[in-house]
Amino acid sequence: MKKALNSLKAIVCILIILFSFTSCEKAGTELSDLMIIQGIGIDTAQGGYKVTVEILNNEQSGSPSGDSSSENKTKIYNAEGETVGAALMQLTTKSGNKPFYAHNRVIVIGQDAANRKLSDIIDYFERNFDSRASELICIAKNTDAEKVIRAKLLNDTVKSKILEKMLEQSYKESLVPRMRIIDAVNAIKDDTSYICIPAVTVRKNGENEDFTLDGCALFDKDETFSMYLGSGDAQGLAYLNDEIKKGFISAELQNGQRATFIINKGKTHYKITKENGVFHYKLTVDVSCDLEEVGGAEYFSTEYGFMEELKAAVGKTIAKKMENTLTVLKSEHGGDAVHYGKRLMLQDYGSYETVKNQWDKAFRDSKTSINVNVTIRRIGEETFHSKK
Amino acid sequence: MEKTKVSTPQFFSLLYLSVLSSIFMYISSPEITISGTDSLLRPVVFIAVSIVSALPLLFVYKKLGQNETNYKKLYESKFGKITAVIYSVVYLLGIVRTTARFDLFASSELFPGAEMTLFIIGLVAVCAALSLLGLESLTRAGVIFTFIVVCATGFVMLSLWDEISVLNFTPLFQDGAGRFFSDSILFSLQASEIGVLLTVLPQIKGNLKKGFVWWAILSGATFIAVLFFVVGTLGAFADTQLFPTYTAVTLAKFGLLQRMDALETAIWILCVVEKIALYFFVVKKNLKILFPKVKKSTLCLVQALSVCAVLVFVSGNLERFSFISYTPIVVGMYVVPVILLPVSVLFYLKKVKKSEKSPQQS
Repeated sequence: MKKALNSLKAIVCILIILFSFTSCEKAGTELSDLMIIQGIGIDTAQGGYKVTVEILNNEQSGSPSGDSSSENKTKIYNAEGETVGAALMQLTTKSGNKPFYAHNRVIVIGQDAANRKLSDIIDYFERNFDSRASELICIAKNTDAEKVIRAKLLNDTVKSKILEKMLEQSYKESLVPRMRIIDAVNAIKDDTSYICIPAVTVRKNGENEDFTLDGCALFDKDETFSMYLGSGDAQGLAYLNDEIKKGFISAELQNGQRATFIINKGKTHYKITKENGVFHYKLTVDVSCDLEEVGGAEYFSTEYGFMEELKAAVGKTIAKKMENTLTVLKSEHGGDAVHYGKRLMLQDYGSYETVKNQWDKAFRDSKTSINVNVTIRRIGEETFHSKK
Repeated sequence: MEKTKVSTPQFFSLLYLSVLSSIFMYISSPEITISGTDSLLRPVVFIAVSIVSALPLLFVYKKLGQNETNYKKLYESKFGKITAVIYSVVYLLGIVRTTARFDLFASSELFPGAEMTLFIIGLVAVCAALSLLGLESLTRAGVIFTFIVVCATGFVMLSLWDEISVLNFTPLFQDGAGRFFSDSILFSLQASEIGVLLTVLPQIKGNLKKGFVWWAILSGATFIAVLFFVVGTLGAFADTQLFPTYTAVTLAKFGLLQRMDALETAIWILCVVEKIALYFFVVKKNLKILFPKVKKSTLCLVQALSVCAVLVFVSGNLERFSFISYTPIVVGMYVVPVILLPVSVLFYLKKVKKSEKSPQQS
């Protein structure tokens, strides 16, 4: 009897789990009744916003015939509303399904929308319980977000997935900064920092189109679009922001030939001093890299001096990139996208408080000295004792 | 009186799970923000406040020891019955508060927008039934659950390591030391479970003082570890989130393993179940003092029904939830069972001792 009662308890528990815990949405919601959003494009419209979403084509995915060639993997819908949230909720009137944001990969902000206040655009994603805080944000450079979401890529694929991978991988390769909802909110809440969001363009590739990452867009402290940074400057940001992950660097040698290095890891150290009322940022960048290719070195491997030349070339290239980025950031439309203000706050809160309200000027007046320490870990199959 | 006894480590593992549920389902408020580096120091104040405020309880333990007859005398007195009424009210409110918070968590994060009232009633029923199994069963489960919770939480937190940014931290005492201390004391007053000690003292064997100090230190250390990852990964964003610890966990990934929030949520439910079941057990024990002839199962049923009635009223209404989370209520739920009642027990014992001596002298 006791055994039977225990079995009954176990069955009741299993049934409870079966009918109450096993889905992302509330029980009873069919997958095909959900609009599983993969990417959201946000543009301006008269009196509000226009959203364009890429959603998974559930009917095609669940087709009993398994025929994946007859229909596209994703569908595109758009809708308008007074706010981003209202526009997104209007999507139901187009598709008949309920928007589901938990699998959204990327939010693309169109050029016109970028000219509006950033917090107005991302507030919905910050509060919505379905949205993930790690959703990536990018800007459609000089174009509409709709064009990015509707891009005609070569293969029938989930475009937002490709865009997400591009943004993630480029961040890992230290090419562009990463901007998630979390990063955007933190940057907005920071009193001194400018916001840097990766910029994407759509380019023709024969009859099809391709996505290209093209630097990043700079937003000022009032959260409005300020200027674009080129790809080289965006790369410099990674070094200035201590966000060196992996990646590559191409350096020019004394003989005019070029050498390419793969970066293994890097770390930027900061020391801030105040000299005659001006903040002096002493940056030390430690980079470890592998030599991938080099031109014009006949017996390069045997010469210690040549290794020193390679290291010096890498150091010079990195320092140059960082200086160039700083020059652009200190220009008329630029600002502190390298968190100098925040770093000062962490190191010397008293000094920070005195300049916080005039930080733009203090940032432009600040001095930076850069020292790059390079370690070459490997030189590839060519060893120290082999002839080229 | 309960015949079964539990060891100090067993009991404090149960209390550890209970207090951990507070940090897992921590709700950021304007009074106590979570995003600054100060958050990492608050658990130090928590340790100090917990140890100091538990002194009256430990004095009661010193006076009564583990002699069950002493406790029986106390419980059977008129004063003991008044104490039992207050304890029952406080911990019934504790059950409502914990369950309502879980309700908010489940309907916001697990199944956004879903009506969770039935689920919550189910949870209350399960916890009430578990409390009938007694303290020994709860603490045994507590030891196993503690192991699972520590391993899983440690794993999830460590997988967040790469997401930590130094820029998410803030200078210490940015809002002033005064604000830090007032925030920290409010933060420390979340641990009203300390008060259950008075009810279960006769059932605990071993060095209670040592066990309590270790509990306070380990709970504080766990808070520091969890808050370090929350602050380091979320920064100021943490204050914009209803359940910041959960938001931090959603960022965790380890190799192919993603969405570890599902794992962590399952673990947190264990903590919540243990906490509510412990509170049910404490209320049931106190009700038994008041109604010795009524069956335990009947008392449990009455408790569960009254809790469910309040929960149905509170569930799905943020205003009502805010009322039961109102700071004076939270403070009262800590101060009354942890400080006021043990102090009054001490006075009562002194009075009894005095009156026992007086007839002898005469």
